Amino acid sequence: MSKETVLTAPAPDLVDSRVAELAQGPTWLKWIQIAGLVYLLLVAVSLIGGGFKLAAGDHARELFAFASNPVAGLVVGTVATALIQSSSTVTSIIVGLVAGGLPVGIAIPMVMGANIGTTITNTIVSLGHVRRGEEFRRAFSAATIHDFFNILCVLIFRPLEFMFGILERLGGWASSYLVGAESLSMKGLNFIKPIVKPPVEFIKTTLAGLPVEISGGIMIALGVLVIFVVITFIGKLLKSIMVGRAKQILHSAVGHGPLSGIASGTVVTVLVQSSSTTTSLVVPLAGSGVFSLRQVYPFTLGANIGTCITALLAATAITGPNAVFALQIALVHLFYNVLGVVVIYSVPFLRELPIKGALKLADVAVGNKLVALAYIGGMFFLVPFLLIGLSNWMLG
Amino acid sequence: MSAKRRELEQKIGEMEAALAQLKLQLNQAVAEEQHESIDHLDDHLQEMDHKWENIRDFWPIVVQEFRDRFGKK
Repeated sequence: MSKETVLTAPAPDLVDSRVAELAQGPTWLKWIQIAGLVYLLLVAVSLIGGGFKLAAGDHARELFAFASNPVAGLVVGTVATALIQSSSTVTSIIVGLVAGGLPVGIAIPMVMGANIGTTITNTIVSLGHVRRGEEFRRAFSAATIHDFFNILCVLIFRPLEFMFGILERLGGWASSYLVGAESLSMKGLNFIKPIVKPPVEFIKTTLAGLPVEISGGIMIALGVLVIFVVITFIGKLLKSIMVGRAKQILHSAVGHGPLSGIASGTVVTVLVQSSSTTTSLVVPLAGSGVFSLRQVYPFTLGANIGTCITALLAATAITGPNAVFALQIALVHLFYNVLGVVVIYSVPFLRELPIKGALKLADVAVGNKLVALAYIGGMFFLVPFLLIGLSNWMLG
Repeated sequence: MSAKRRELEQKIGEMEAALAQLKLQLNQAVAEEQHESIDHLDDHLQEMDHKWENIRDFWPIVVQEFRDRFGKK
């Protein structure tokens, strides 16, 4: 960035300006920066796990007793993600909390909620088209189709999970298999622990004089902050590095049907480590009318699958007896998203519901922008809290 | 087979072939537009960075609409 640009540019916040600086420079340097940021991510997840264990001790279940309400966890995940605008950040924090003792059963609805919360970003992006009626209709429907899909997913899987614990069992089976397999074949070769442990131990030792609840709380807060910053930086860096590759993938997906769309959405999301980037990308593509709603739909579903990579990566930071649970929740996230796509997209009746919902909402919102505002406020903030109140009242 | 029937079948065949050709051309035109749009992916990514400005632009529109609907006439 030239001196002149710096002087004439509006004052950006600290993170954005640092990100802009980082996003420039040679590619090899960016990869080194990404490697460093991934390391920080692993440290932060481990920090949250250690802090939560320290603060909650054996009372993690009691601490999150409020979330045993069938919709409370869902609301926590939705609202937290909508506020932070990153499901990767929230799922990584959840992995850290599970590593610290949060029961997987309580964490599962939070992960489901994160899927819903992350859709706020592309809805905000679609507001950029608000002054052009037909374009706004297309852009808004392309954004909200993801919302409708994720709500449908929750409506199907949340009751099933509540009654039968399918995802918890599936994740439990897969994680014990993987951790078990690792302990047999890679015993003593876990290189994550030795590199992650020193900074976590250093922070723990530094805070040793404080009461455990406070030092644990500080560790959690620090971990959350670091994850937020790291994922923001990684996202920006990867976007600048991977834009060319993303173009290639999208070019190759053109005219190749929905499966190719899902696959390309998955791969692009893995490359940029952000589902909201992928789903926001399709908003202008659909808004211009070049891509139809049906064409962008599979691509947004792929984003749901691709975003699971961050939680899986975060789970590798966890060692010790809770490593299996951290991996379990990361795998639950993956299974939930894969099963959601398989079940909803393969049943024609279900597949059509998000399309119809998004088109209907866009039709109304074009004629009445207050509906668009009410939708965003209601969907991501008001309705979730009303649901908690309602479920508390119903459960007595 | 009557001459008229043959003539009609031939015309339908020709029209179907022409329609298939047009559909092919349309698909190619759509694909070309899509590839062109993908080439501008960098611009679309930048649009994401300005999402808060979208809310700033959206707000006065909503306020105006609120006044139009619920304000005193």
